[in-house]
Amino acid sequence: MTTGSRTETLPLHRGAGRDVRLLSTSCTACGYVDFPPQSYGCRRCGTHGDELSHAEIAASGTVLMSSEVHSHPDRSLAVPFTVAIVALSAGPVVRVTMRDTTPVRRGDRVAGVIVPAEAAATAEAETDAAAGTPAAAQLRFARIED
Amino acid sequence: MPKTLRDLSPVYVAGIGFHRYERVGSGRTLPDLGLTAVREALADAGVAYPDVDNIYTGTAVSGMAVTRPTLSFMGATGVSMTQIDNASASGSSAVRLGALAVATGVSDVTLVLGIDKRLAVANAAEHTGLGSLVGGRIVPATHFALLADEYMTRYGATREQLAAVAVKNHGNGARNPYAQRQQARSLDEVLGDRPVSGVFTRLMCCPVGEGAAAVVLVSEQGIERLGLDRSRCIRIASSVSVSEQLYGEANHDAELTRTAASRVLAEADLGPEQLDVVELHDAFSIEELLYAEAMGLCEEGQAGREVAAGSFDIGGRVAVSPSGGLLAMGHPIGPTGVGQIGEITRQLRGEAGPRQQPDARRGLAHMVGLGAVCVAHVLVRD
Repeated sequence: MTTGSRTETLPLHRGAGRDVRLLSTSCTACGYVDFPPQSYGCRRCGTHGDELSHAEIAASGTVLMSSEVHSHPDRSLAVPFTVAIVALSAGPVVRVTMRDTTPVRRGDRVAGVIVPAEAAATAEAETDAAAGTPAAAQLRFARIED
Repeated sequence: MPKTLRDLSPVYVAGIGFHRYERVGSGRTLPDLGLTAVREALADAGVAYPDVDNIYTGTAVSGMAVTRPTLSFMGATGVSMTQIDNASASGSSAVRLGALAVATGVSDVTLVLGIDKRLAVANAAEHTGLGSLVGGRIVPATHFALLADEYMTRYGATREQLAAVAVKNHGNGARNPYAQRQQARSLDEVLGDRPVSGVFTRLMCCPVGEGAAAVVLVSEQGIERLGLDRSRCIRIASSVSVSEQLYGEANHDAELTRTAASRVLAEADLGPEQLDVVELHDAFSIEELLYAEAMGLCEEGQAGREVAAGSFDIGGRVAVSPSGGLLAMGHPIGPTGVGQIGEITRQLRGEAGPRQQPDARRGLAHMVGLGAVCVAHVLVRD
């Protein structure tokens, strides 16, 4: 691992179905756990290089807030869809796309699930392919009991 | 210890000018917009263009190097021209840097222009190479719909209270000839408008637009040398610029505002209860509630009730968004922060006509930029 910034495309998650884990940016210098994974530097203390790891963390947490989106400037995204902000059990606060528009409330426990490619909006897969980024669009979140 | 404006020479707003904010496609060119605002500001100040010794232009989406193509028609004086981008806070940052140039004595007369046409919209944050679980799904309206969800859940605020902010600000905009939206709206009209995200309808979100605003900042030497009317000069008492820190589960924009507001008030030796007018970043109606609380204009969770009670109306305890705010005055980006200084100056001069907050002596201007950053100023009538 070199010092200084590195341009690399790291996958955001590993696993299939409901057995999915997120990858993090974990700083062994200050202990900060962040998402998404990157090698540029710790967003709390600036440490970079070998002291940054990409430990797997649980793709589960608690809903802080949610919103249904009724209209979106990108017309190829199917509306309505629901997004949420989730406090992961491992610490990071992340924005997620919900699997469907079932209402979720603050305090609901949710977890990640990989959905089949055809269930994800087509435009995202194309955009991901064009940008060379991992197909993160296929990870959705749902209430643990759903 | 680095200095603040308080440690330096006094800075005054001597002149203000605008081109009305308009929807995209209104057919105005950059010179149309910029020359209108600048000529109005210079005439208001009693300053001739050759007296301007420095120009800062707040601009974010008009492409590279906008000042000279816009202002060359004022005559070639060789004056320093610099563009400043801080996303939505571009105009505010331009005001800050202009104030610092005058306060340090390197400039006696700085012209601050805010201008944008929607020509080159590009967000650097999309090019960091980092992945995301939401892609482009969360546009600003959705980001704030999420915060509205949290606010309503936590404090029991209602959709009607969020809509009441829009009713107030559209009503103020209807009294402002420079506002993009000059139509008063009823609560039913606001609630019944096209749904965007969460509880937000179109009228609870700021419009996209273009426009220009300009202010002339002067030093004591500038006032003396040019024989300006001191009675119409309004002092910039303090200026603060901060960027986001790590806030865990707390609302980032509110925490950023809390930091900036407490600092800018402390540097002006004022408490929030002493403010008469506030122009804040109300791009989405929830923001007025969040920032009013973060600034200390009222208790946490109480802003919805305060709006309903008329506390933030023109004529209320403190007039919030008397110009119509971003919701109704508009948010053409570059001009917005400069326009806020213009409105507060007008209010403190007692020249705001149908928008006048009675006996306004102290005002606060606040903008948040992508990043996020926050820039705030306090103006006072001495």
